[in-house]
Amino acid sequence: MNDVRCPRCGGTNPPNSAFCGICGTPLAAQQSGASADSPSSPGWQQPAANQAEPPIPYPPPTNAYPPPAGVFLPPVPGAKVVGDNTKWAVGLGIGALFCCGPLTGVPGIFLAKKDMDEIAAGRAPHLDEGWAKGAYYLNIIALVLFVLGICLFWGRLGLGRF
Amino acid sequence: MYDRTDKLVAIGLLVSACTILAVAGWLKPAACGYGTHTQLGLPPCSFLRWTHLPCPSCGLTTCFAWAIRLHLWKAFLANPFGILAFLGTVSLIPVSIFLLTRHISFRTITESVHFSKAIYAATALYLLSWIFKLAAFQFVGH
Repeated sequence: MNDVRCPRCGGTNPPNSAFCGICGTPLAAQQSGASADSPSSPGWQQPAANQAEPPIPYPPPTNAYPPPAGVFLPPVPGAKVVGDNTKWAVGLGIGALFCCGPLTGVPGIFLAKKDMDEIAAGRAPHLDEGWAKGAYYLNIIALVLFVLGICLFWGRLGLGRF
Repeated sequence: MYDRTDKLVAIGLLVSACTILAVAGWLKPAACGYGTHTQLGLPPCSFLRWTHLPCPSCGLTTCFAWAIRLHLWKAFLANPFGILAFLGTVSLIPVSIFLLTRHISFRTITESVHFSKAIYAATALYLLSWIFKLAAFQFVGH
């Protein structure tokens, strides 16, 4: 029996898989036929009324976290992608380092933490945890350096004013 | 689940917002459009000193100082994004009171997908505001 191809990300899954192991898209409609046609394909036809629906082995997970629209899914199944929240957090962290301090650092921490929480809860296995953690700590370091800079300016560390 | 942390965060937001607005009212806005924060003993903008160009946050304190006095046009000229930040700070007061009285966790806001999109939009507006300041700095000189 042929492997089932996911209509959303193109990843291959074992036969009789109910959900794509990469992006979580339900594959129940793929089980009955040999092709990977989906209702969105041009050649797909509504099954006849007297045709039995393929049984769904188990209900879909209620806390599924599908990749947001527009996210590039890697062609290699199992590869990780950098989440949108993480990308913005990296940009905000760089801004916090060079000029903006807490104004961009705090939102950057929130965004990176969001992705880290989703990864830790298992709702976003396709996201790269390393990048999310890196963005999180980048923003924290930027905030620490900002506070340190103010302290140095005030001479609290005994190094005088700039 | 509403717990002590949520209560402390809501109180912290309320106190922070009130403090920021009170300090903005106490400060005298700088005539040149930036540098008002130096009245608090904070250092002048390093980005401006090194590059001779305003950073995205230049004029933010001045904007708040003008906005609390209801001089919204001068506040906009000081930092366009500051108007949005000012309105956000003002709205924090009723929002934090609402969270406290209704025992709603701040996480219902921060874990919402709309929160991320709001941060994206605010960052884009922040950059647009910086472009405006750079253009004004080039043509006007401050």
